[in-house]
Amino acid sequence: MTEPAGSRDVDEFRRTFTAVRQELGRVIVGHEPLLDLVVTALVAGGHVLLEGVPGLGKTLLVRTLAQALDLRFSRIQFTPDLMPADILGTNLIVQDDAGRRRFEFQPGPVFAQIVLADEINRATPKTQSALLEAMQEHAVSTAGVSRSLDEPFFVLATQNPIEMEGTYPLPEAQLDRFLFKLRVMFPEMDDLRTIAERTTGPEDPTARQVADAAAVLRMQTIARQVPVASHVRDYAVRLVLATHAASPQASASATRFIRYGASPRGLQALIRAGKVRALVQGRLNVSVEDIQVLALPALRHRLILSFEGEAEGVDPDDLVRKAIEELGAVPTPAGGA
Amino acid sequence: MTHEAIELHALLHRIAVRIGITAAWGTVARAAAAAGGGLLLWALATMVVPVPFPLARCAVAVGATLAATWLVLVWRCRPSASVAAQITDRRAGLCDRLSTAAELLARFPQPVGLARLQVGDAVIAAQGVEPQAVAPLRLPREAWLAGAACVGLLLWAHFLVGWSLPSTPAAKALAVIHREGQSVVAAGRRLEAAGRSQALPEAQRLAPQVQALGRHLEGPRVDREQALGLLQNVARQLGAAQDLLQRQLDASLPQTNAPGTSSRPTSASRAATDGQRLQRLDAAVRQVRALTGQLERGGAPVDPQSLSTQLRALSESLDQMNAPVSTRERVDQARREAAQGHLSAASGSLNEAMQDLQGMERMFGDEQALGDARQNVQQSAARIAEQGPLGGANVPVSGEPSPSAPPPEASGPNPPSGTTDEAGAPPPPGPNQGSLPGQGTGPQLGAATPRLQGTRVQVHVQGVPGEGPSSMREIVAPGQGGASRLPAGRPPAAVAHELDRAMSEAPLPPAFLQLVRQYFETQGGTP
Repeated sequence: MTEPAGSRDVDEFRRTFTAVRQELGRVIVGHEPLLDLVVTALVAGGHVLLEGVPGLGKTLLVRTLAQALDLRFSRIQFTPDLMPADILGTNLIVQDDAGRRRFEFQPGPVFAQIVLADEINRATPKTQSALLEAMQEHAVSTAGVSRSLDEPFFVLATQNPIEMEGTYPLPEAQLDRFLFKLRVMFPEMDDLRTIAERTTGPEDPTARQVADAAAVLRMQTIARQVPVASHVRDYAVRLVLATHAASPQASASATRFIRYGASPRGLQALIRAGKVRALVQGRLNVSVEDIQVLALPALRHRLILSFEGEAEGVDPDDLVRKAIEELGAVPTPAGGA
Repeated sequence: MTHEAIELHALLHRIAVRIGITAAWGTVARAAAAAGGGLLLWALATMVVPVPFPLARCAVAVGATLAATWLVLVWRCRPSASVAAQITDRRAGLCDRLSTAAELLARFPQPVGLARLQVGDAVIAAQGVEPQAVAPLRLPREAWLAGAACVGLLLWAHFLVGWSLPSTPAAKALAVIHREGQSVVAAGRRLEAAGRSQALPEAQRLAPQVQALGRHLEGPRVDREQALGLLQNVARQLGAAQDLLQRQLDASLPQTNAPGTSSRPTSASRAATDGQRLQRLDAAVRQVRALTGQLERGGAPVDPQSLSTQLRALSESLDQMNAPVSTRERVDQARREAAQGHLSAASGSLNEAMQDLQGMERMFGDEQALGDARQNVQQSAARIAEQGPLGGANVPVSGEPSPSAPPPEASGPNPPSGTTDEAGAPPPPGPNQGSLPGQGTGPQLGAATPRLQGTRVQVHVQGVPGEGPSSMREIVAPGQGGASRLPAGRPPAAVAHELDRAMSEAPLPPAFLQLVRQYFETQGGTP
């Protein structure tokens, strides 16, 4: 049974989160909301899909995060010829000192705590699916043996939205495993100046370790204890249902442009990430505002557009925004305004 | 329950009550605006159709209903603590702190861990919440409409009440009121003339009120309900004065009740008794006047024995009619003085007795004049009430507030012989039946009654109107019986029988029937 968290635990949570966030900010220039959401996803126990053009610091972000948290980091460069065993590991025949030969499992790069799946859409679906069990169950099954991964286990996958030739778009089941899908935008002019100044000097900026795996696990435990009011939970449910074309709560745009809406994992993502955000914001409860702020990163990759939506180039972000608008701020209670 | 929970619930309760009040205000204001608009339309409709519009009663009823509705709505529109917390969170920007805490407290009376911390955080946030800022008590927009309707009603009551558009049913009803006002003024003048000529104090006292009522009814702004109310008030005053006179007459001339009869006379028996008493009183006055004249004449010698016999008969007659003791004592004294040969003293005592009897006669006259005026007022009220439904103003217009009292009978040559309740259906209309001049269909009226022969004195006032003293003299002509057009004679037996049958069917008191029968028998016996 989980031990109830106290005020000291909450203070420690906020202090650790702020410290990690500051260390990331020392290395990564700009992308403030992105950094917040990455750390939020880590504490919420989810994975993040980063979408952006090359050279925007995605790899640096993952490496810096691993440094700040003192977690084992591995990078997997996804290519078309990458095989599942290259990710998960394989059984090798080894010979001991006595000359006996035996199979020994050689762990793959997935056996780390922070995994960077770079350009994940370049691998074949077969290889991509090798990450499914690892991401969902935090375990790997090879040769009939299931091996647990070390906690915390955090996957950061990247993909290039422009260069689509020779790529394999992630299937819906794979996308649904990601807590957030974040878009890495091109830096502003001021940020570019700072990048130029900071990365061309005699020393590259490095992050200090401010927490460890135990601290991250403790933060995850605390975050799960944040209470959620029923009307806030209902709001998240209605928001998810609003993305389903067949639902009575579906928005007009969802009915027209969405073929399949967000899955229950989307609802879980909203609530879990909302709890972390509430603590970070200095609250001890999830608010409707948390759900609204997290709706875009948590739901945008879970919407499957209809043919009309694909043809008209509808952005899922617009669909989520319209669903929020049509839902209103809060369910109007009887007698209230 | 923890101190924090109590504090949080107290705040949420205050906010819930304020929200309930605001919601109730909204509903009640809309209802008030609708009711005020309806009343205003109703008020304006009275200028077209003669419908009753009891503004005061309607205003009180609407106000009481709205107040009761407001109280019920405040109770029923009061949101729950959870909803009040959500509203407070939204309006105070508390990011669902209070609603989460309220839900946690409802679920776990003694929360632990982060739940306990969250409740504490919510209580701290609630300390900065002002209920009047979160749930301000402000009047809704519809309240201005209700206020405008109230102002419109006040303006109508002050400036437009009683007005009617021409050529509308309301104008016709107003014309009837004006006509009845003239009738009441005429009745007041008759009452005043009777009071002045016969020195009737109550008639003189109440005549100005009756005339003022009539002039008020003649005014341009009077509605039917108001007119009926005023008529009822004046009729009540006349009835009260009439009752007072009747009590005084009863005290002066006590009635002799037959054994077995009720001690409380009905109106019919009362009229019969009054007729008998008036008849006896009149006879006694004539007898006393004859004796006084006989004594004062002084020409022929008076036979003391005959005089004493006549005075004894007079005394017995006064005893039978229960005349006042003082009157009877004076007659007895006159008899003793006459027996002793003191004729002048006897004449003086008889004069005093006659003054007593004349005083009572004046009381009878006063009572009858008031009764006539009251009947006129009641008839006017009935004619005004006949113009349409009365609604809340359908009250009996009489001095006797009896709900079962029959309506006042319309005057005219063919009064209805019975009530519709008794016959089950109204009787067929007679040739002259109608309550207004010109409504009858009977034959043409006969020649005008010849004017009384009196000395007419014309007073010519010199000067300019408005200057100098003014005086008024009233010439009262001596009464004279008019000559009948047909020579009197004994009617045929068939006619007498038919008359007897008709009179027995007429709703007249038996005493009056007796009087009528005696009158015609007297006429028939003197060709």
